[in-house]
Order: sequence, then C-alpha cells, then structure tokens
Amino acid sequence: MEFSEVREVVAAIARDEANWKGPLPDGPLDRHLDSIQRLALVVAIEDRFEICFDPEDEQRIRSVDDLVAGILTKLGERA
Amino acid sequence: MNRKNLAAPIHATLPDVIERAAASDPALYGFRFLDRAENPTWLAFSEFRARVAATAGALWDEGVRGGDRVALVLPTCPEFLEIFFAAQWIGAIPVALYPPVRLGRLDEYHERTAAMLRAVDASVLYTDSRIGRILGETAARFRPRLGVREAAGLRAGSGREPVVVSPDAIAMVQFSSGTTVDPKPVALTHAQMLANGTRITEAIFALMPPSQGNFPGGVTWLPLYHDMGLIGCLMPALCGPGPLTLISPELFVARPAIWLRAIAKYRGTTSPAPNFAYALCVDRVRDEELEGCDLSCWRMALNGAEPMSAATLRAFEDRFEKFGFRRDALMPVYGLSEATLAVTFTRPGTRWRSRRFDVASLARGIARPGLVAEDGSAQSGDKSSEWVSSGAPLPDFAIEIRDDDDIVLDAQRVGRIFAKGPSVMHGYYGRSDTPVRGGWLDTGDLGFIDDGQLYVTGRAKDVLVLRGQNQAPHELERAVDVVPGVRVGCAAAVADIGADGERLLLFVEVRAAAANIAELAAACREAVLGACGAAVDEVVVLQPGTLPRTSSGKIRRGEALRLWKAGELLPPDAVNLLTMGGAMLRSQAGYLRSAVGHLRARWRRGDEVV
Repeated sequence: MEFSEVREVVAAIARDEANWKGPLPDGPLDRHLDSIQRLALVVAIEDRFEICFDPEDEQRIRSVDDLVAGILTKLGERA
Repeated sequence: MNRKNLAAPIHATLPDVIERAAASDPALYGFRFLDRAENPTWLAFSEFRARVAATAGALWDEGVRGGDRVALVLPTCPEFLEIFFAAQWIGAIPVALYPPVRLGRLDEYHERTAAMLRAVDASVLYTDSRIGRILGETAARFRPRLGVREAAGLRAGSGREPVVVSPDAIAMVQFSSGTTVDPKPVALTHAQMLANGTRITEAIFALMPPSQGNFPGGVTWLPLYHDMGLIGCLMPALCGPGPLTLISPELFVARPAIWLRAIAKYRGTTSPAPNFAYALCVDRVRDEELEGCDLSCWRMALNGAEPMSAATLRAFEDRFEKFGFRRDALMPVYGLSEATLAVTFTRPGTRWRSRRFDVASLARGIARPGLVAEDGSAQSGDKSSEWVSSGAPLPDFAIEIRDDDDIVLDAQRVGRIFAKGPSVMHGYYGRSDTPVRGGWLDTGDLGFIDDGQLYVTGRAKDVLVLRGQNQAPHELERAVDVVPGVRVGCAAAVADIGADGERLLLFVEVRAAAANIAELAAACREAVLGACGAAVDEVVVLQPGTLPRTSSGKIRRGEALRLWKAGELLPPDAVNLLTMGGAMLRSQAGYLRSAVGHLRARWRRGDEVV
C-alpha cells in the first residue's frame, strides 16, 4: 500500500472509531486526541491492518504521518 | 446462604478465599479470558489455586519475602491474577500499577510510575516482555531492590502452602487520588478487603440467591489496577464463588460491543462500569453488532467511579431495551479506594432514582427541590437540574455530611461526605497523614443526603477524575502558562459535576492586551491536551484579578466554580480615587452601624450606656 492510501484508511478509522471530526491533524497526536481516542484509534488500526505495535514502536509515533509510517514498516516486516 | 450469614465474612484472609473457591466445580467456576477475537480461555479456580501456589514458590525462589511490596505492571491476563494472589500467599503485599497508555507520552508515565514505586518502596516489579522493554527509564528513576523482572516463567516454582497471616495484616496497596508528585498508596488489610467483597457479594445474593450451586456470573472490562475492577469484580467472583469473564480495557474502548456481547453470551448477571462506558455504548454500538443478543440476564449494571448523568442512564436504557436490557438493572453506586471500594448502593432490583434541585440554592449549599411537573420534567420557569442518587449506605456503613468546621449537617445541606465502615482504610502506606479520624473517612467529595439517599455534587479535594483517570489540577493549569496572552500562574482547572456528568472547566486570566479570545481558548485546550492528555470541555476567559485567592495567594478553585455557577465570578472593580473614596465611606458607615447595634443591644439588656 502507498503512503496516501494508508493515510486515507487512518482518516476513516479516526472518524469512525475515534470520533475525530474534520481532516486529520498535522501536529502531535496527543495535542488533538485524548487518551481514550488514541486508544480506540490504535487498536482499530491494529485490527484493520492485522499488525501489532510494541511500546517501543509507539515511542516513535508522534504525528499522523509517523503513525502511517509505522503502519507501513509493520506491513513491510510482515511481507 | 442468607444475608445474615454473609454479613460476617466467612473467610479470614485472601488465601482462605482462594482455597474455598478451588473446591468448587471446575466446569462452572473460574476465570474466562477473552482475546481480541473473543475466543475464551478458561481457568478454573481449582487450576488457579495450583498456579498461585506454584507462582508463590517461584516468588520465594526469587527472593520475595513476607511484607515485601510486589509491584505489577501487566495487562489483563492470567499472570496478573496469579502473581497478585501468589504475593499474598507468602505474606507479601501486591501493588497493581497501570501499564503505559497507548500512543501516550512516556516521560510522564515514567515519572508517575517511579513516584508510585518510591511511595511503597517496592521490592520488585513484575511485567511482561513488551512493557518491560520500555521500563528502563522508570527503573532509572526508582530501582526496586530485586529489580524489574518478567512475569513469564514464574509458574515454574515448586508449589508452596500459604503462610499464616493475620486478617489485620496488609493485603494490598492500591493508589488513590494519585498525582505525579504526591501519589497516595491506600493500605488495605485482608479483613478490609473481605469486608467490602462480602458486602458486594451480599448485595448480589440479595437479588439472585445462589441455588443448586449456581452463582451469578460477572463480566468485566475494567482494568485490574483499578479498585472497581480489582475489588468490585474479582472479590465477588472469588467470595461467591462464581465465574468471571474478563476483557481487556483497550478492547472495550476500541469495540464496546464486545462487553455487551460477552454479557449476553456468558449470561453475565453483574457488570459494573463508569458512566462514560455507558455513554460510549450508546454512541458507538450498532444494532448489527448485537444481533441475537439477549441482555435480560444483566441484573446489576452498576455505575460508579465518576459522576453520573441521568441523560446517559436514560439513553442507555432506551437504546438497549430492545435487546432485553431491564430498566431495573442500572445501579448508581458510590465508593472510593480509601474505603476499599463500595460505600453506597442503589438497592438491587429497583429503578435508579433522580431528583431535580434548584441550581441557585445548590450553589449556596442548600438542596432545594425544583418545581417539577407531573411527568417529572421541570416546570416552566423552573431553574433546576437533575441529580442522580448514589443510593444508601451498605450494611454496617454510615455516611455523614459535615461543614468545614466538622459539624454534622442536616439533610439537604451540601457539605463534605464522610464515610465509616468495616472496610475503611487505617491510613496510607508509609505516611503519617490520613483523612481518617475516629474511623470516619473524609472522602474529599461534596454532597448531600435527601430522603436517605446520597447525592454527590462535587469534589473538595484537589483532584480531577476525568474518564476514569486522576488528574492533578495544578498540572493542567501549568500547561497553559506557555500560551501567549495567558497570565502565568493565573489558571484554575475544576471539575463541574452537573446533571450531564463531569465537565472539565478551565478558568484562565488573560493579560490586558490579550489577542482573540476564541483563539486563546483553542490554544489553551491544545496545550492541556498535549501536556496532560485531558480534553477541556470549556475554557472560561477572565479579566486579570478575577480568580478568588486565599490570603497567601493560592487560587481558590472551588470558590471560583461556585461563583461562576452563581454568575458572580466578576473582575475586581477598578480602583481610582472615586471608588476608593466610596469604599472608605462604606467602611465608615459599617463601623457606625456596628456601633449603633452594639449600643442598642446593651440598652435592651439594661446595661448602663456610657
């Protein structure tokens, strides 16, 4: 999957599962989503892409783009 | 088993409870863990007992001894329960801590976890391999004597028999009102844990008497490091004993329908949750996710741990009635860690109660009923709000409402809630300060009693409980110091508990030449969310000097909220020669009135007036 495709899927999950309204935020995730929204988002992403983030992976995820990059890395490892 | 028999705990210590539960039918009684695909893993209490004994042996082999504090940072899994009870098996003290929040800031997590480990002088920390890889920074701040160890492999120990401990020995420590700088470790004895667990079990039996060895089953997604999960769910399952189905908290948050499906599938009769969980189900669960589900088995849907909203309770009933949810199942309750957990319950099997009270009177500390139409709604012109009752004290528990001078108040007067009962803690672990005096616990919450029912209206202590998480107000306030236009040190974060539940309000004073108010409010929200992970519901922008302060300059958060609700949180009058002159005149007039009144009083008493 391409970066933009994954970003689209993340946007849909954020809207449907994390109650995020509007376009995805540019800045740090934790400045826009509270802890419950972030939890709902990351678990739904793991379910959708059939991946599992380690706490170490999550340390590197600050923004939506980091999240998309993290998903692509996990998908690459699986392939 | 009747209620009278249960009123006195039939077990002396937690190992006794395990031993008795282990004698139950392994096909019917035990823990059921659901994974992400909702596949169950069954752990019968008989097998659980064997694993606890083996884990206890392994703990002993690793150097853990009686009285040691055994910290756990683990998700919901069999290993959590095995280590928790194995520690008690050898007379050690388990301390459950929460794992890192997903996609959260770890620097704050390390700080907070280290503060909790330090507060109990933890002897060892057990975790799993995933979490363990990031706990190095926590350990750098506080290293337990026996280090940070992996839970896997502990079962390999040779089984041990439980050591004999006194029912008055400390059985566990759970954290309450925790903040980064000042975590409060609640020390609970075996007797206190069992007293509370027994009262909860008694309430279940009162509604659903066990017959033919068939104990009502529980379902929970609540975290096991939280009192409502640990005491509210585990204790009745073991004391009953009865089956308990466990779901991880993150699965519930991501897919709340899992909770309801588990209740229907495993015929759960008892399942507690905070108010936000019921609201989340109303918002997120779709009909097709509950196809074929029958929720009529759910007799005790306890709602506690945070303020309740009548609107949420009604919405939940309306939404899930078509799936068999009973309108007498919702049970608002009240409790806190310092009392082990439960203090008041709505009577099982009765419909929850609410009442409207006049808003302005409540702001003055008086619960005056509002004007209500026949259908229970507010009459035209009535300015009241609806409050949900948390029920009445459990057997052997008592509640008092007191004012700031410790005087017990009458019914319908708002004051601090004090609680007394057999499961109230003696004190915090390793600390001399305690909110318990003469057996009475100052809960730090505000409320009143009406018709024998407790209504919780606010919080006097400096802690906010937001979506199940404790937050220190000063941490939220400090976060907006960096926002341009905000006066440094001039913010107040408060929880406004109202008819719709708890809202986070942030009062901020701005500099005289502050920019766009809407932009400033948005920047404040963003700063708090970023620094603390808390979503502010409303930012109230104030002129300089508006926030009330103590004589030593501390912001009076509760008073700020009270004034704001009464429409009286106003900026100070500008001081100039004219206003100063007026103030002096009013002051002189006051002295004059006082002197005249004093002379009149003496004259009435017949004193000689000089």
